[in-house]
Amino acid sequence: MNEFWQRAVLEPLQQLWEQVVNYLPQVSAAVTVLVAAAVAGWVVKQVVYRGLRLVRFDRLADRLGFSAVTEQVGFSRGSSYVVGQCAGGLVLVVGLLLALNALGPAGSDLVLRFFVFLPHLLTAALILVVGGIAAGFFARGALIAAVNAQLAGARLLAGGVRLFIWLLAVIVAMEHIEIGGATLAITFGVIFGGIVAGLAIAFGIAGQDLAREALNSLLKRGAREEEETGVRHL
Amino acid sequence: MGETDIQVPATVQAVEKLGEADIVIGIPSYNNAGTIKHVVRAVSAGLARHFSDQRCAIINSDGGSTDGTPQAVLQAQLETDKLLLVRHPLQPVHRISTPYHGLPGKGSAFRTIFQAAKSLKAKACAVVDADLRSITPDWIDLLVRPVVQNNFDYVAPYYRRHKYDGTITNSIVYPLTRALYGTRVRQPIGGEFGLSAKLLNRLLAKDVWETDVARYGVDIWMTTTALAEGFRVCQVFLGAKLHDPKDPGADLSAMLVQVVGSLFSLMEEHEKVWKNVRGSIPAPLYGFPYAVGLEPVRVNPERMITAFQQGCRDLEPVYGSFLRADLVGELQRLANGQPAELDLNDFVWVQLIHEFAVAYHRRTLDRKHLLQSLTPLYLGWVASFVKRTQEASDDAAEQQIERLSRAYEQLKQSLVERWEGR
Repeated sequence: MNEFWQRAVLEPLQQLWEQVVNYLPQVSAAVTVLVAAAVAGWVVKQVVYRGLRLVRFDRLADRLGFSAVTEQVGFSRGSSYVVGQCAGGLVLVVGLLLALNALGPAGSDLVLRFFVFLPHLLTAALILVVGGIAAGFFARGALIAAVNAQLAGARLLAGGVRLFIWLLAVIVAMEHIEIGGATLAITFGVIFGGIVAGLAIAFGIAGQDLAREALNSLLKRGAREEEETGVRHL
Repeated sequence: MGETDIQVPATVQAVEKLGEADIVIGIPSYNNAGTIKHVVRAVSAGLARHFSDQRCAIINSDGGSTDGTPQAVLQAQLETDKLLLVRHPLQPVHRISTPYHGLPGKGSAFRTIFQAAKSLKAKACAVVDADLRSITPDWIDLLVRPVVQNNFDYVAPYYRRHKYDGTITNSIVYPLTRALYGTRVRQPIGGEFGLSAKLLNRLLAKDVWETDVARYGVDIWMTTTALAEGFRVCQVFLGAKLHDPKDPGADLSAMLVQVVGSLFSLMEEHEKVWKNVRGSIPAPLYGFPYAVGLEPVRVNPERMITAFQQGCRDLEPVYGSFLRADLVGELQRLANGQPAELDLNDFVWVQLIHEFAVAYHRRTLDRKHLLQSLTPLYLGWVASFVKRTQEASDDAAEQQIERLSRAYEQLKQSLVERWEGR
């Protein structure tokens, strides 16, 4: 019984303890690097943010159109803040990689795999950023055009445009990092194709007159507007 | 051959054949077979009656009409022997995107006419639309004489118009141009004008002929250039302007993008000039401003109010991205009120236009989206104007425009501050 206890419990525990003791310097080094990176990241973020505010970077970004882009992606606290966050985040990522490296061969392997995967990840992120910008841009264009045409449900239409472009971007990004593969694209194609075909059939069969009227109305909108309001704009 | 010289060989030969001319009248055209004969005859009679002692030429610059416009010009019985038919280069884009005045490639037409006038060594040049029904021979005298006799460089038209005719001009173009450059030109985008050789050469030398400003806003560009660069500007009273209906498919928001976009773009170009201008003086007016009977117009503001309300409701996030919070709040208050009580007052309207100009300048939003989003607010202003002036005479309505113009002038300092980001 004692021998069994010794072999089944105590020896593995002792081995584990030895491993922990052997590994402890690497873990503490990794934690130290990580904490230092977090502090450095915060400091870099603050310095960059405040420095850019001091030199009125936001105004320059406004003029260059950078602020509009960051706002479309969802950052509403100004371009200096976005750049500060990116700089701080970069320091943190570098710290994380150093910390993983400090863990020894296993960590190094992880870092190596990370670097192999990094281009795919960056491309996917870029696809999402571009998709986000495009979604915001086209949704706003659709919203304004629909409002000017006095269409009911203008916001719904714009929301549909935004959703469609976002979905497309997410699927392309996921395909790029090999999540879901072709299944996602096929699913999306089937659903979208189905919706378009359904609408076309419904509009074509049930709404020929409505379609004709809508097209006529769109083509003659300017004339109708002046005719109905009685005002000549120019 | 210099960059401002005529590029088309056939046109060069035709101009050389004409020799020299003291006065050149240009008629840009595109599918105006129904009216151009009358216009050419009126121009010809005007030159014969008022400038018989001068060498005169009429130039028709056609954009490739398919309805027999050039043939109609040739059929017109002329009292002058110098008639030149040229074709201005019309690129595919001109055919697709018709400018707000309805003539594709109007900038190219003007350039061709100006180049011909320069080659003919003309002292004065005038341009009249080919779709005019109310032109008389006296118009030529009115447009040209201030140049040849009084040394003016730019002669702008002054028409009697119905109070609801030209609402973009009344609400934005005239009062903003007046407040910016300090001179009151009542019709800054009229289709007719007279030019001196000095201004004509200056315009030809400018590097804008291939840009959207020349393509879509050539009228306001010429007026603004004359005002901002200190040329001598006057107005001439031409009575009523009757012309063929413009492109029936012309979309209001496209008009606003072209006209207001040109205005804002010119604000950037002449920033150093307008920032220092305060108040305004009227440009001298020539001709006898007689009363004109104008056709009554029945106006329905309901549709405009609905458009305004929907715009304020649905475009709130768009407006919130570049308008001041207090203005967004005011728009919501107006949109949520009773339609019958809508009153978008002058000061709110002027501040809105200023905010749009500043957002255009800073590129806060895509410029086309920005200008398109002005449409519902503009309709809100027009509806308010109609409600205020429905029972008023045209003169009383003109007083309202005068009040609005003064509001633009009063708020000029705040525009400068906002423009500079203060």
